[in-house]
Amino acid sequence: MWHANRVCGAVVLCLAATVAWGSRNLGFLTAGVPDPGLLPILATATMAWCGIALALWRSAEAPTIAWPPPEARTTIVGSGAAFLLYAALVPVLGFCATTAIFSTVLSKWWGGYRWRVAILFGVTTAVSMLILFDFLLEVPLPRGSFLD
Amino acid sequence: MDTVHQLWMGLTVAAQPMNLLFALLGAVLGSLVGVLPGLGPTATIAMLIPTTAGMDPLPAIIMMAGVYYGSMYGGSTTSILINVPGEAASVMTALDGYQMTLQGRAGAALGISAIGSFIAGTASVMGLMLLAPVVSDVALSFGPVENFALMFLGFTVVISLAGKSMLKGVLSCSLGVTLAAIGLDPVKGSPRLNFGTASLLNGIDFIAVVVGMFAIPEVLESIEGSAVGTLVRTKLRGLFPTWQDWKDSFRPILRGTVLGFCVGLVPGGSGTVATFLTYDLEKKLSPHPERFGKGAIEGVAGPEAANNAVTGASMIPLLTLGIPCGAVLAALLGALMIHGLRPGPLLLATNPKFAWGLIASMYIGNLMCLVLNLPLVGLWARLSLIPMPFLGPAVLALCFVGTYGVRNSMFDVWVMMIAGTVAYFMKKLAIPTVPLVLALVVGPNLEAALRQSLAMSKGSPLIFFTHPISLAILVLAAGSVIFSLRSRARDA
Repeated sequence: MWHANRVCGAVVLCLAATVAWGSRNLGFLTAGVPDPGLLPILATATMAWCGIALALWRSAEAPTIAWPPPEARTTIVGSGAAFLLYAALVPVLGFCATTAIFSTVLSKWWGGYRWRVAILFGVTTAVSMLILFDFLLEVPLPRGSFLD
Repeated sequence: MDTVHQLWMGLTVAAQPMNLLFALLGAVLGSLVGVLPGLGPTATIAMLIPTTAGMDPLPAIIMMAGVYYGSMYGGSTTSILINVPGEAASVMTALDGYQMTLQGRAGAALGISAIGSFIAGTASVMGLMLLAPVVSDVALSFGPVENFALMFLGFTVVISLAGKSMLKGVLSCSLGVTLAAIGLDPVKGSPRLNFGTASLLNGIDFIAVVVGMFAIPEVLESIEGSAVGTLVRTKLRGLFPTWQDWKDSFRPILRGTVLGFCVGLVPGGSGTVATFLTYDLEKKLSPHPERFGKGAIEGVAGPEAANNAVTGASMIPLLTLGIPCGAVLAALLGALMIHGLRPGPLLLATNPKFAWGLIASMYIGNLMCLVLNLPLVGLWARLSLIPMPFLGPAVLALCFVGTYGVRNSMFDVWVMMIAGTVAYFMKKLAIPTVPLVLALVVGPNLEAALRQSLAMSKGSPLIFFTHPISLAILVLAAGSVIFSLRSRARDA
């Protein structure tokens, strides 16, 4: 856990440095009047302190990290990539088509169901959400540049 | 008498068909959300915001409040029947509730859980009804100095209670404040921390962050295969407790109600904290503490009463001070603001129909939850067994809709995805996410109060110590930090 804390601390320090650089022209206090940079600079300083403490301070408690078991790591990483791919494809294919494909593939991959079951689930999910949100609740959903 | 008159007005408003319908919808959604893993009340409320944006605020907020307290009812069903808590606040219920199921007493456990929740929920709404006007009157005298101190107290208590490491809680909070600062400066209107990106000029939408942080890690962790329940095949006989069950449960329900209400009043006090404290108290007070963990009905009655008592109490700081006590309340605060309502001391005075209509609807909603959760308990139990390969993609599609629908922006969807990924790693590294969400939602108000206070004092931070009320609140904040540090040192 301490090793993980050191990595986390380093990441936090990089983030704090980035925010500090972004706040460099915002000011802090001018003639006693707070500037736009007041809160960001205070938050950055706090983050930097936390990052240094995480990186250097061996905490008395050392809880183990419950990383996924080895057999599940590929699934987790792949699922994360799938979520990002979903977000990338929706503007292209539209919500309905992307959701149908996404739901089909994930239910097949995660559950090992037959393709017929997975496709039925995927199509049902996509269509029912389209009807519920786009038609009934009038929440506009992307139609996709491919279809446009 | 004025309170009674106001409540009567609220009841006439809450009893309108549209408001009743949305209270029922909220109770159903809340029970469903409480039962299903992968979707909690926080993410659900956040996702409901865009779908209700065009509606009248009162039925929308009634529905969302129904999701909040309904989830407390639903979470206990899976705890008792399949030993998988639907919500964090139902973890303690599983200890004795599931044992009762194995002993063939699932009906009694479910019955006392639902009835105890109803009693506590109703009592806490009564407390809300009586205390909200008093707190509002007191808070009217608060200025930016006192408001900043109150929000600071909220942050310190949340940091003290959320997670094992206060250092990581402070980190989470500072991240949230930084995210809240992105966009246009509220005073000068100049871009801030957008790094030249036009998409960031509108700031980071809190709905995207809340939905991502509370839904995506749940789905990923469910895929890891940690929590799989098996429905114990048992006849649900006797959903109404026996006389002996009542005798054993009555005092725990009362104690749980009082303790839960007190915990709910404190910024950072959550249902989870209340249930832990109540379970511990009941075990200490019991003449037979060895029965706990083996099917003691007091171990179900007390915690279930406590987590429902928190719901009404936590609405007091939200409605009267504009300070959310937890992630769910932060989402509710966001919903109120998006609907054009400003929670604070003036809410009860300027929007009495809304405020009292909401309070009155909580009485009705609690009754609806009781009716829904007892006869339909078998249905809820079966729904909880929907396989994650089906539930996960549906939840993620809902997350997309809920996030995209706010501003019709794919940028928000990407923010949701990134927030979800970050939150997954935060959970693994034991960095609490609640302080981040709270800071993101409350951050703009915090900054406004801070800047006004410093402008009044020409930049001197001593203003927070020269105002007596602010000083008292800051002393409380320091006390909570010291108490927490000492507790951790003792436990280490």
